[in-house]
Amino acid sequence: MRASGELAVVGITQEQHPDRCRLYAQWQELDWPILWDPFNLTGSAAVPIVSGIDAHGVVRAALRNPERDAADEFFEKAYEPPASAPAAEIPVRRELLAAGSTPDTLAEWAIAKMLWEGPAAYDDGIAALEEAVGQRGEDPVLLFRLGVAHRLRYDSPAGRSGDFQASLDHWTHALRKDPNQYIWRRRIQQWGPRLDKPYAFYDWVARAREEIAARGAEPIAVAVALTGSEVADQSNVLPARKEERANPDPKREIAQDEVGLVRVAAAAALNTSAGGRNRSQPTARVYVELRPDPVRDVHWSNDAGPTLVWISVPQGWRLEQNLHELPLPGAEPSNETRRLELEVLASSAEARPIVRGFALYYVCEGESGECVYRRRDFEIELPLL
Amino acid sequence: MRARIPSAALALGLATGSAPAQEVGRAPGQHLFDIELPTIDGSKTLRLSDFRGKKLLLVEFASW
Repeated sequence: MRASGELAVVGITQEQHPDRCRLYAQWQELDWPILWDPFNLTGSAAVPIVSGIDAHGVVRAALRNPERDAADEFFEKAYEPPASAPAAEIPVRRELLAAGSTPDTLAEWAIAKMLWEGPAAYDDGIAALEEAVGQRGEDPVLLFRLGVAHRLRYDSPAGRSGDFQASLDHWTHALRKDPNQYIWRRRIQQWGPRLDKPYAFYDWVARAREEIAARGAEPIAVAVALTGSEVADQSNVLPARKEERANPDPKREIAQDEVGLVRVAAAAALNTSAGGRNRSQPTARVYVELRPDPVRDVHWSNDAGPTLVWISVPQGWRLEQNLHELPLPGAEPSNETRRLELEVLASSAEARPIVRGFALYYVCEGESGECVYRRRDFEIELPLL
Repeated sequence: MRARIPSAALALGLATGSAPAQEVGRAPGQHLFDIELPTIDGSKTLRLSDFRGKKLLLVEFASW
């Protein structure tokens, strides 16, 4: 039927990153168009959904399990035109020219800008969505979409250090308003702790790359690097505690990086059940990111020593280890962003517990600039209730 | 002969992580929503109503 033009197949993916889906489509050799819906404009609360639609735009078959469902009638029957008028259009269009002033029109304009203009539109898009949220209050749909916008900007060259946490906060807020929204839930769990994962999200990527290469093709590049969380499998237990290592600077003797030679950002993704039936044991995946300041041409002095990160948690909490030594790329200077991921398990549902930490690092400024050893403190407040 | 759904759609049912299936807004007898979105490679924009005049198999999914 496809060959004769009687049947079309179209996909819509509910993912933050379209490139992952492109790789998946290449691996699975999907030869039909796939549309990108990161903002969940279709309103689907779960996937996969396979629907058979007749030539007049009417849904005729809901194929919940394509292996079992008999789709014979859908494929073989000629359907009469419907008596009723077509369903409404989801009003986000490429040619939206001006932002409105209501929450809905602001959001429609913002999303259209971000979908079709990309990073250049993220600042304006976020501002418009924030205005929409400010007007309407705790609208979970708007909150989810504002979270998507923050994550889009975080993954772009214009990303700000608070964008990742902002995305997680908005998604968590939205999910608490509508806990049956599994698209939103999965968006959090993608970066969330292993104790809350239903399965591994992107562990297929390595296999896909191998199999595509074995076919003689070049695997499509994933534009945004996968985090450890995104490939990690589900787990029922926190990893066993590793050997205790001492606080490398208990008396705060290392000078603080007052000028921000290294930009340190921290974020935490909570388990999606926090506040619900697992309230007594909330868990979080903590992210720490260290980025040498490009304006000052700062780089890591790798031959001087490693970057260390110390994490402290409230009394009674658990984590695998307090002291982390980030791997060095080699002895030559470098300026890559360094990242740490770890998981913590709370002992009780404190109102607003704080995870604290600091990083110690050797850096140099410019080619012949001063090389120093500095400390940068950070903290993450976790809104568990 | 039993009609075949494109094998890729079958693969999605097995390969993607799934959440509880719902059919709100896609129930048989309802008009499907119309929407305009970019493709995942950004090369074009498509609207579901572009496919009127032929039967459409709409696959809503995610690669996670």
